[in-house]
Amino acid sequence: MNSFLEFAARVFGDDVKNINLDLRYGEYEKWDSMMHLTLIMEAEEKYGIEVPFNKIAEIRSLRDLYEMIEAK
Amino acid sequence: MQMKTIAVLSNVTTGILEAELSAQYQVYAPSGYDTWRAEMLDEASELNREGRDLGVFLFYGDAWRDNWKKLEDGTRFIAELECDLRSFLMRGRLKAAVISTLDFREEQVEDLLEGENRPLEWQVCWQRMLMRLRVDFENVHVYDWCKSIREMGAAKFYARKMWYTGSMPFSLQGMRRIAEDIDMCERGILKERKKCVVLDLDNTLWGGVAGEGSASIDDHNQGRIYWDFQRQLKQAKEQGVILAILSKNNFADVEALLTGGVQMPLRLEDFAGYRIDWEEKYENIRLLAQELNIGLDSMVFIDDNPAEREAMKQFNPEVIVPDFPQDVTALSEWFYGIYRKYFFCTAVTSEDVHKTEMYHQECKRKEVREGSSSLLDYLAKLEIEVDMHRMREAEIPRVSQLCMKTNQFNLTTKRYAEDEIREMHTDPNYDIFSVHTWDKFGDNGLVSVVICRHAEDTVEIDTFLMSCRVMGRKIEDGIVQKLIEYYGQSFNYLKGQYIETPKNQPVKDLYARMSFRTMDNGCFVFSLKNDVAVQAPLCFKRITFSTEEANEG
Repeated sequence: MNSFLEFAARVFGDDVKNINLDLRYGEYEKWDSMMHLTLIMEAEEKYGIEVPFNKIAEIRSLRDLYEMIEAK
Repeated sequence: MQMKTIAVLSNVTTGILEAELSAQYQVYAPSGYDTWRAEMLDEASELNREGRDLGVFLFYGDAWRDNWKKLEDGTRFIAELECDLRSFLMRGRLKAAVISTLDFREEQVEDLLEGENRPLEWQVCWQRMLMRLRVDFENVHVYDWCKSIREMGAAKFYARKMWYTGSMPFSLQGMRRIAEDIDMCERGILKERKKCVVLDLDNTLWGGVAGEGSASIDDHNQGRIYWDFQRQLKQAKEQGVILAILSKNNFADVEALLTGGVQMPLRLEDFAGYRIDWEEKYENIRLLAQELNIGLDSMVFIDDNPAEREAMKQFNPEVIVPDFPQDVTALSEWFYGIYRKYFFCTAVTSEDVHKTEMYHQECKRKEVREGSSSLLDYLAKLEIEVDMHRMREAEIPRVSQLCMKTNQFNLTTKRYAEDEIREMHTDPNYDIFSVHTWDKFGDNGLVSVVICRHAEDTVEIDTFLMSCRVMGRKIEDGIVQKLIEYYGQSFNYLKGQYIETPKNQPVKDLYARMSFRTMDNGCFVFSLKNDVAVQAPLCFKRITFSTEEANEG
């Protein structure tokens, strides 16, 4: 999980100490709609997952994304 | 160093690209989707309010395609867009503009009814527009992203999912490639490119070893790999990159290959210089640099031998030493990457095309120099001819190129892009002179630029530079004499300035030597009414000076 948080910190361009699984899209200030796409594309590339089109909007928190990666 | 400013204008969302670019540039993109055109047209928009180093225009064909039902829908759109682009470019807010080619995704069902390939027609129409813009605006450059897309493959470059989710058609990889390409364009347009590829021979330029008689470029020793590599190098040479050889070999063995009956794309005369002996390469490269009169920092060294590369890096850290590909079948692809990184440019001048030839003439001059009793004797033997004239429109690219890259003989080192030169050209307070020289060995081309600005009774030499390949021929003496004669007719003072840089020491004392009086902060003044110019003996066969506006019908 730590490596996932580090990954997310890199994508958000933030310090890893500010990152946790409860960060939410639209609430955490760095996570806007453009960042949402970036995050998903970066995750697809790094973890070799494929986020289906209809799931993109369902990812609301880092936990959602993390679970999707774990479930792979 | 200050960050370069860049504006990204696109008909699709480019947020991620902007983020990627902002590590290196100060990026501006109009807010909102597809608002670039309104920004361009609105005189008060943020885009128009501020000048920027680079404007990047990225156009995704499919975003327009829904509205282009018939062939003429697209061609009309492109014609209108051209008008808008022109009126925006005329405002001169961008030092350089990079406009993409137009790509369409290939997954449309073929339209057989109209019997025409519309996307192809539109691409041709677009290409023509780009060519016209390039002719009319020197600062417009074409970014052929269709080529990048072909190289990467459309399936990888684009991401449908991103298009449907965020109106952003590119994949992460595609986005990174665009950022890389923009960076390459920026380097090619606004910064200095490297000058020289220094090549090892055995197993680098050909397969096998010359001295063992096994060197070849046909089907043995994977010869065709090297054939392709040589062809690429030759092409680079034709774009103004100079080639040189550093090889541990017997010269006769190499000569036999590069001048003899063996067919290969490169011949000995394609190289501006070479050191083929058994001395250390890291020492030989310094001699080569001296001989070619270029800095070690403008050389890229290519050698298959890791030990040679390591020694080069250690003793000459200024030289760029890329790793050689492990798998030689990747040689062409690898070199293309090197070219993009260090030698890419978007326009070539005729000086670039003849560069190698000029270096050869330089070698012959050297021979004359070695057989001359004094400098004056040598210069007289060269039979130098100098033509100084008011800059002509067609010379703007070369003049700007010289401003951008001349380091040694450059009194003020002001870097002027083409549009700035153009602006001064039309400003009545400025005179721009270009100087062209020849000698009995050939044409040196346009080698010197003087930009003067006059105000009241004083003429200030804003820029005075000369290409290093004609330094030491007293051409500057002739130029200054002509300036004094000309301005003496209607002004009182001629003012020069020396702004020191790490590289322009050679001209530190120029104005003092020309009997200008030293003032504060690097300024020098010559009183056109009272001072007497030192009449240096001019050793030219002929010097002409004309201030006429050239008739360029």
